[in-house]
Amino acid sequence: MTDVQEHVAQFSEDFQRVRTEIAKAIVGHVEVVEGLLTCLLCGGHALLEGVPGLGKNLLVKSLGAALHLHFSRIQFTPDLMPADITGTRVVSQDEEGRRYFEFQQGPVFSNIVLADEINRATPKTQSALLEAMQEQTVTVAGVEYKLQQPFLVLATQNPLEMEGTYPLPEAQLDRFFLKLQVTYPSFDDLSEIIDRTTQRHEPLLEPILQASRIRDVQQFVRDVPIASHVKNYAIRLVMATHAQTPVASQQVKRYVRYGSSPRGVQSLVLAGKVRALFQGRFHVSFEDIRAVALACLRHRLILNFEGEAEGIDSADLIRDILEHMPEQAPR
Amino acid sequence: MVEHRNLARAVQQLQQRYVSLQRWGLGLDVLLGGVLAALLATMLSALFGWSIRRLVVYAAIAALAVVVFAVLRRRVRIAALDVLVRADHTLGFHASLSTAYEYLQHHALNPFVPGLVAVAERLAPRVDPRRVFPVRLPRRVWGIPLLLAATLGFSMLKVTPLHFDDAREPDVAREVSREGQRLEKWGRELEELAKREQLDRSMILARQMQQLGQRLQREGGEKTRVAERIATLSQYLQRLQQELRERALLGDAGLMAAREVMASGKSVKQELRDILQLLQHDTMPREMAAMAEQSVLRLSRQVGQNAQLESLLQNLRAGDLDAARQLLRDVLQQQQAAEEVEHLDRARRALEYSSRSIQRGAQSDSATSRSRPQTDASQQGSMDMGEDGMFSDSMDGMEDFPSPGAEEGYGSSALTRQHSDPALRESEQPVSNVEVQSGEGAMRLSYIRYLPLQNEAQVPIEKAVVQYQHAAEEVLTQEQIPRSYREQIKQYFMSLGMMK
Repeated sequence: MTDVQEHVAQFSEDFQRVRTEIAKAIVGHVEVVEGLLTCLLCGGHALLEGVPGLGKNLLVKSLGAALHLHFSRIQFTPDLMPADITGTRVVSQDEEGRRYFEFQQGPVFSNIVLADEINRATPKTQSALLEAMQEQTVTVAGVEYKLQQPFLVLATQNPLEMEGTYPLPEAQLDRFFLKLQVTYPSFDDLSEIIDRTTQRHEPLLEPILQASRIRDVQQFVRDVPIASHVKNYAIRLVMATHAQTPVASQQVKRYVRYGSSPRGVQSLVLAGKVRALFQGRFHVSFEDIRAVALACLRHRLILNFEGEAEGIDSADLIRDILEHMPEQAPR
Repeated sequence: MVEHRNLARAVQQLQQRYVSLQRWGLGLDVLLGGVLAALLATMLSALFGWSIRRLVVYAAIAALAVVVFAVLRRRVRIAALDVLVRADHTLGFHASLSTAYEYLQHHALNPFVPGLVAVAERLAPRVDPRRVFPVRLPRRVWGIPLLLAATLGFSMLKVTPLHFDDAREPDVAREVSREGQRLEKWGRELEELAKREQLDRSMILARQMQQLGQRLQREGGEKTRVAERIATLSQYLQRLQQELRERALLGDAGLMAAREVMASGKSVKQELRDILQLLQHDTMPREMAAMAEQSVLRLSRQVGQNAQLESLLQNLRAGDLDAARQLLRDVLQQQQAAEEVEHLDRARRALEYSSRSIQRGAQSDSATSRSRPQTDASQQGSMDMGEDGMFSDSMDGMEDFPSPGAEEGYGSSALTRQHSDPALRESEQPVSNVEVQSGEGAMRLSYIRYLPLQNEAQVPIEKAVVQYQHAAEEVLTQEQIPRSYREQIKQYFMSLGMMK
């Protein structure tokens, strides 16, 4: 067995253990868990969308516990200020009685940040996360502070209560690596949830992976090979979301105002690489791209007025593209 | 470089399979095209009656198909990566083979390559080229047996070839053009001969023949009859040329022109023959010698001063009958040559007329106008006159040599024939005014021009009119003319009688 094969085997084993550990607390949501792990290994951030009470908070907390990473939670409200996220300088006094300004880190200084109901905060506060998400740094009073690695923002938003919310601007949406839908659990899952949450003892999670191991895997993932024709397929998928391109479908031309940005194809390829490793393969295949396409692209399509008025779901548009896009480019 | 024998072998097998299948397909397509072309050729050959043998056409099509196939088969090739992509897709290998091959070729240092190639080496022996590239005959190939059967069936059918006038026109045109080339060639030869013999008139005639040949080549024709007539004429001219070359008598006939006609109605040639007949005996009575001398004197008066006639007269007076006979034979030969030259001239004019007929396709009109020579004389004069003032009814082919008018002297004279003006002179007499009743309408006036000039015709008009009148009455009595036109014809001849 070669080194790479050993690495991949170790990777598969480790992350299977992480999934198993999370599964102690979270019933079902396999795809969401896999998506969160994908974001973590790719250095991206995830937007979780689902109605209240589906265990989003528990999911993120469990992830932090299983990975032995520092976890913090920010409840976004309309009166939340940027400094409440990034931290601020406060006046302190030393032993000799001299006063000085000291930077007190906000909750963003953590490995995993849960931005709960992110669309309830004002755009000013939302944008405070922008620098942290993109640059992995925070600047306060002209001083730049580096965030801990790995750094993962998991934002949740409630699609039902739109009263008093501030929809995320397109620029900020684009910064989320994946958008994951947290759906209602099935009958069996609900039964399992009842059994676990109504007993005396709550499950205790053991940390499986250290931060250093995760950082190594983040580098390892980027070496996963992807053939040129598979890469072309990912590019053509993204191009098909642009209404003005010849490969765009009639639906896209009719309902889409802006298609996916280049970040879309980056996330397709990177997420495909992680999925290939999860599957125990050494390279990305067409199936990997198709499997991650929905999560990678659905929040990057901006519908036009007609699309909004007719209640078009961007996920349906992407499914349509996936259905009709041939693996081989027409010659 | 990581060992990848299985992968390389799989690539080779897949490429061979693809190329062989594509070449088969290409061969079938070429065969289909060839069979289709053969069917078309068979149909066209049957419908239009091509003279090319069908086997030759089939052989040409087959040769062309082989060449096309040989050229196109070289272009059939496929990249290794493409066959591996196809194999991954068909066999469900999740792009393992293609990714391994691509990274081996271009990213060999990637840490994943050994593992990737190891997987590919494991999968490569499972590659079945026949499964990746199965034999699939395109539907169009099934048309080959159908087309073959159709070709065979059509070749066995007895179809009468279609004839289109437009389609046959080029054949006739080629024939006419060929005749034109022959005429031009003979004209050149005649011109050289005439130059050598210093015969000006023959040289002019030869040049006209060349011009006529060139016109025929340039303008062509549209009727088979025209081509046949020109061919006959060409043969005639060829014989004449040969004969003249043998005799070397292409001289100017001068005063002894064949067209001279004696006042007694005999031609010069006939008169000379009569004299020669008188001189057949070695000993000649005095009365016969005087008769021959009188005949020669009459000829001299008719044609004017002539050195040969004077020599003949001297020989007769001297009693040298042998010299006189020899001289007469020479003169007769010259006379014959002059007639031949006359024929050549007529041939030229007939060819010119044929050329004009080719252009306007009006041969049928001239035939119609000949059947009613008097009723529409003014139009006839303008339409059917040749450049030299010849009437069209004397030029309807080689059967017109010599023309009836020239032989019998009707409506022609020495003066008009010698006249070189191409336009026919109009009579100076007042036009004949003929009043006739045509149907129930008003009286119509018809003007008749081109009547024979005064003192120029050899046959008096009274005699000619009487002949025509008798002929017309005969036709009228046989009821060949519609009743409504009979009175008109009677009035016409009556008006001629009134003029007298």
